[in-house]
Amino acid sequence: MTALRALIAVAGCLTLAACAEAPLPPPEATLDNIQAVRAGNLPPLRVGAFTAAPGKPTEMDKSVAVRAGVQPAPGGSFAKYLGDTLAADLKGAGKLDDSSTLVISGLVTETHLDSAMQSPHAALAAKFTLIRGGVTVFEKVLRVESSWDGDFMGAVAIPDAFNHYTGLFPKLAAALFADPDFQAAAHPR
Amino acid sequence: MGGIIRLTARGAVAWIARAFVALALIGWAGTASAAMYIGAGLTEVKAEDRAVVAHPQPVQLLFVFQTKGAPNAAATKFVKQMVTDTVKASGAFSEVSDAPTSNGAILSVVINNVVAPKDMSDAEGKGVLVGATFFIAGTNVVDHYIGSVDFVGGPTSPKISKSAQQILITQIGLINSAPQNAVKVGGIKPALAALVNQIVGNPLNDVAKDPGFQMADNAGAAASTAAAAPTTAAAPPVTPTSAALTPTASPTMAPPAEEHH
Repeated sequence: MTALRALIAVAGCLTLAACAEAPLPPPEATLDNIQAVRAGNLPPLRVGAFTAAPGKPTEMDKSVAVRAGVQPAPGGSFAKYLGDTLAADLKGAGKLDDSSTLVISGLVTETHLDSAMQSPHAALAAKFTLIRGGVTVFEKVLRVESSWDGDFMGAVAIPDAFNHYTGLFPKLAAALFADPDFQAAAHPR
Repeated sequence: MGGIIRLTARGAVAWIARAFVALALIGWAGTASAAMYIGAGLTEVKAEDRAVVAHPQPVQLLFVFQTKGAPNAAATKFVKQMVTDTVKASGAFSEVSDAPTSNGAILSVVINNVVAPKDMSDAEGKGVLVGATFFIAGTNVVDHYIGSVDFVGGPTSPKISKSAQQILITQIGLINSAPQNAVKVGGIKPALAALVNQIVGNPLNDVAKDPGFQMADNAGAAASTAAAAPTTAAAPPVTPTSAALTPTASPTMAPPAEEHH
């Protein structure tokens, strides 16, 4: 990162720096989230549909932009990326079952990224729904946010912002797995 | 209005052309004059120091590369195979995979590229100097890394955590002097390979030497034996006792290399 900053400054002496973001690879399971699934003793789950909430701008689901940088959503949808993140964690914990009658789905209600130098921050929220055998047993909006130190150099600030934004997806998954209402609803009664 | 649009379009073309030239120059500079060094305070695990694991068990490997504490998905993808190779080469596990294992053991590796604000501003100043002198004036730029290795032997096992720190020094420009307390490692790829080898290999070796890991190792071997011979007595639990827990990390600190301008 420090070396990158030096090289960017070198480039700045020659021209403006261009900002292009590589496509995001598939999400990876994290130890904290697997441990959260284990701690909640969750039964096997199927991951259902994850989409942008009705009435929200479709652009917010397709890409996020910071200054001159644009991060396209993997597979064309950040909501789907949230579902894939949940699936990665559940799979990592051995709790992903495509034939389960317990289905978690979600509507992304908020996605926000701002790289303002003084107070860069990002937020992600979704309304999660857990359905067992066709009956809704859990419905809740969960929200996570992040803030970090700003940087005036776009070529540093832009990837920083995207890293923090994409870091919200496992963070939101963690919030769901740790939610006591979700854990209670996930267990058969 | 049309004139403005045409002017903007010409400006954009000129900007793109300048950007290509700059990138080409950086590419050339990276090939011709950037050299990489790694801190000399931390080395790869010597054969005689390597933990002896009597009954290696399978493990599920998780890896995240972070930049200033935030997950960096692209870097994770780039470095993951190096981490997998290092874990396999340790000999601490019979099998290393992305999928859950029968014993529920998980090894989590996090490499965090941390930066002190002073290093950032210094780096920018140095970069401007190098650029302004067209790569004649050289400098050394330091990147700091923390490698954290966490291991859980099973679903209810306590976590064993170890960590290590290391630095990479990028030397740019033509007139420069080698940094002290550092070893030259060539370009970026060999530098990253050496970094991963050291910053993952050392804490992983510490994990394998931990009494909690050894208990999980023995319990796993007993469970495997019981599974292979189901008519024998029941296997002992695979979960080590909490007395074996090593809750805190003991970082292996690498002394910072001096910078030369």
